[in-house]
Amino acid sequence: MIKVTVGNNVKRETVIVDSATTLRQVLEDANIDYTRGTMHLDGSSLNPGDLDKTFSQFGITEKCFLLNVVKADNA
Amino acid sequence: MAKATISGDAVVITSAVKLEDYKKVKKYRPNALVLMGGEDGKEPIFRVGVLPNGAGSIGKYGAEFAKETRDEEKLACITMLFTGSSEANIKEAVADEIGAAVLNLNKLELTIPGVLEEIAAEKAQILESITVAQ
Repeated sequence: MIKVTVGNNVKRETVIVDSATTLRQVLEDANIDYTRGTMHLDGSSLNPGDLDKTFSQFGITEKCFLLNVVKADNA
Repeated sequence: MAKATISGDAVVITSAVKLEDYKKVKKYRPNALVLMGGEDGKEPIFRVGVLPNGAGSIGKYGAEFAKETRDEEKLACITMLFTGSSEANIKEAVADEIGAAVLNLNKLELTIPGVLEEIAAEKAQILESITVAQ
């Protein structure tokens, strides 16, 4: 089981999921919009296709941070 | 109450709950497999999961079951290798490694029979409302 802190710029929550869960499932269960901004797993940017990989495929075994960061444009 | 059996380097953790029952709860009441705690009692601290294959695992944040015992009880079980310890007292070493997780598993197991009764009652209600046209 993996403790995942999932969220975005304004909200974060902690969930525990099994290692066969995909990143997308966690984001959708937590109602996090991942269509904008950059997705980060433990601080590293994710690439297209990565959201359908499981935590075990990323080598995550105990805990991680899965965050969507939207950077506002400078005026 | 979950128990651990050591044989050679293998440690088998046997739950007091059947694998089929865990699957049923996962399907109808997934939140019942999460033990809440923390300061406000709203933070998930331990979870039981069911995997389609593998030997399962148990750790700080939960237990994943994929197999059942080979007797008639068909209880959920996890088989793990325990090779890292050179301690003479293997029982102490295993208790140090998985003791906290097994305590949380025990707490969760106590709630499962009640959840299964609720599911059975709801299912019976649904079955009553279904008719088959002749």
